[in-house]
Amino acid sequence: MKKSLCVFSVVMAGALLCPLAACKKEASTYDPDIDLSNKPDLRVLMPYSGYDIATVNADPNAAVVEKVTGYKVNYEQLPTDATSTLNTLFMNRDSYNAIKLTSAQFASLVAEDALLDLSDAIEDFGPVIKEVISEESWGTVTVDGKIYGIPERSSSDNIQYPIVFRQDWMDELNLTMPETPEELKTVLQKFKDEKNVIPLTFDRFTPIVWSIAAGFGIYADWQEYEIDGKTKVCYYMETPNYKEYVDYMADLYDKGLIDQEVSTLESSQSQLKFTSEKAAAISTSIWSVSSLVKGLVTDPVLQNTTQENMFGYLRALKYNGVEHANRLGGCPYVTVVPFYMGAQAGYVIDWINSKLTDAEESHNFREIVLGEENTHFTYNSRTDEYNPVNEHFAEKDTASYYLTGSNEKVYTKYWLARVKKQPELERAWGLMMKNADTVGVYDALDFAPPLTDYASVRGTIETYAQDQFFVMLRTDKGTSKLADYLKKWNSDGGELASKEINKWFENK
Amino acid sequence: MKDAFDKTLKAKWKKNKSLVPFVLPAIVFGVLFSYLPMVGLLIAFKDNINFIRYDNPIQAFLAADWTVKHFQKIFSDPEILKYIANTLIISVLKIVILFPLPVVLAVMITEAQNRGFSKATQMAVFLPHFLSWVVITGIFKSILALDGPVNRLFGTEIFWFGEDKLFRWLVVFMSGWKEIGYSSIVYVSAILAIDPNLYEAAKLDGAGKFRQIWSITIPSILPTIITMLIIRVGYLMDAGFDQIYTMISSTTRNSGEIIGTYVYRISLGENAGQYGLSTAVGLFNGVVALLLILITNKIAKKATGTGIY
Repeated sequence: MKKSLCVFSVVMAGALLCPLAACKKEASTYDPDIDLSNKPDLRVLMPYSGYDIATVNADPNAAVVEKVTGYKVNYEQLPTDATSTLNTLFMNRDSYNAIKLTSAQFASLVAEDALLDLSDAIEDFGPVIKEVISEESWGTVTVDGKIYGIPERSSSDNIQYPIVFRQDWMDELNLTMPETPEELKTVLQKFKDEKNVIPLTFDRFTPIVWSIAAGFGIYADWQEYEIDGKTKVCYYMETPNYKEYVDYMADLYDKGLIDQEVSTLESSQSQLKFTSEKAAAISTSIWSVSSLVKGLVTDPVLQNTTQENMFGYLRALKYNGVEHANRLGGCPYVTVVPFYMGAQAGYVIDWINSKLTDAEESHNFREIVLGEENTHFTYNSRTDEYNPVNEHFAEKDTASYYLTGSNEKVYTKYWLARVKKQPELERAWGLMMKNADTVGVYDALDFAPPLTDYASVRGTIETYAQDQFFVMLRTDKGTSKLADYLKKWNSDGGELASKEINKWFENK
Repeated sequence: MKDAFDKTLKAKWKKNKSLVPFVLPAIVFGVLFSYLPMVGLLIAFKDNINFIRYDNPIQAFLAADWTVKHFQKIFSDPEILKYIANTLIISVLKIVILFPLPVVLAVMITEAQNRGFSKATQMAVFLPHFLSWVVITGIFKSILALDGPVNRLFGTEIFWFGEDKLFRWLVVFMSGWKEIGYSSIVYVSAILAIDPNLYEAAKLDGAGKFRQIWSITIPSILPTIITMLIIRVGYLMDAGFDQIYTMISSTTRNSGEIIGTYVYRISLGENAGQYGLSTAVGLFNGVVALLLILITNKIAKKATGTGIY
């Protein structure tokens, strides 16, 4: 017995000590001498799509990408909980040529030093990439002058979180669109008293209802504030305005003007309340407008009513008489190469480069996003507008999934064709984007580089802030314990993140 | 002394060696899936391990700094202590309220005169066990919704799934609804194995139904009950991850978050990845569970002479 224990410990100690001398693995080197005429098959890992992987590979848009680039690509996808999967596959050195990540996943992998520096490869094989991606987008993927990914900016910087009202009920009750918190309260009270419905619903992942928070001067998660004559970037929970916002919301909740079940609702459930006529207004993203319309028109009573002006949209309440609204910016996705896959990185960049190419002789990017002219879309040269051909355009619904970086010069214009697919959606988008440049406010971190400390605590502090909002709304009925919550938020990582963010901000 | 020891060992080996192949798979299984993974517990004592950038986990492990900060956090952060308390409270509630019920149910099923009725009942209470928690929570969320059938029936406006004070009771109730039937199987078979002569004798002595149950059925299945109790207590620190994960929301975290869901949230949840802290919490959890099972076994042995080792 004793003997075997001895042997065991010697073996264990040996196993532990042997690799002691080994040190951190060097990144594989990028090989500039590759033969572009002899294209290898690429293995690309994508975000979760909601479809099985055979469908993802058989999608006509995948075929379009193959046609315009000449690269055969095998797509695979991450599960919904991607964090542990990503870690495991990097540890196993799985041979993915490229991986499309969310910006948060990107930040944590940069912190782990897991990605290949693509600067040289882009210099050699990505002339178009360099040209069509803006300086501020490059800023989101650059650390110490090294470029760790190809950023994919969204179609356009949208203002996209309205409160959607049932316009027919607004008309019936002679109500006009509210502009201040007090007016909103009156409107919601009317809905409750006269229609006996839930005045306003939203889901449990929405602590900040953007259009209402705007009425208290909160426009973004991380926002610049003047504090003691100094500009500081604060999380919404840290600002003095947040207290007023929560008190207001808690009052609405207490008066029954907000869905009493809001803290447990999935977004599909809150939408169902709206489409089943149990709720008069919903805070949601404009991209769900199409499904709200579809949900309501299946109702036999509403079927015959006109679909036009079905909804009213509250973009943002005014703060001190001025309207500002949260505007989406930055790059939600980044395509990267694992640090050990340098040998073929040139091909990946070449592949992305030809996907983004959009010139007279080859409209690759347009073909991926919009399809063929006169088949999927028509072009109106007089107004410079692209219009969908509805019977075929549905094929392009999944096109954005296959993007790995976007041609920022033309993407917005193309994207509008998609908005035009549904008249109510087009109207909503138009209303939301009116004077967007003066009204819209970006998150201070939208174009920030990956921040290591922030990435490590982001999940914790976001969940905590979200939880405490609903606790204050329901359990505390106000902000009496806000100071304690803020203390806890700081000690859980808020302070760490805030320090790093402000340090970056000052040296920007 | 040593010789004598060797001799008995040898004799034992000779006598029992034909049994070794039978126990071997269990040993291999235990080593592979229970003991080897324990090496991973060392992560709890390391700061920021970078598993990705090294050729194997041992190198990554050696390169990281030693730390006890995760344990400091466990013992100083009231949040984590609260989750430990929640775990214990929910588990104890489940044991105290739910543990006796399958025994009662088993007695009722076996005492039922109509065999058809008895079988049908057994099937009906048995079925919920095979539904997953996601489905069950969905069903209960609809039934208990603010405008759902229960609130309408009683004319109440109780927000069952969002009320912090009710949450633990709801957890216990739903857990009981799902598992009581299935847990009763063991007791049913134990009762059916009791010698019928005992009941005949009792009847002749003039014992009524309740007397029979109290003096024959219960004592006969007591060893089974004790064994089940000890096994159950071993799971005390696991208050039901699947169930609570599907039920919990912002306003019920205060009384409902347990170690299992917390560890999941800080390690594998969205934008999380705090492996060091979550491993430390897991280790602490394991130590408490081990102590509990040792203590229960000891008490059970003293009190009834039955234990599992």
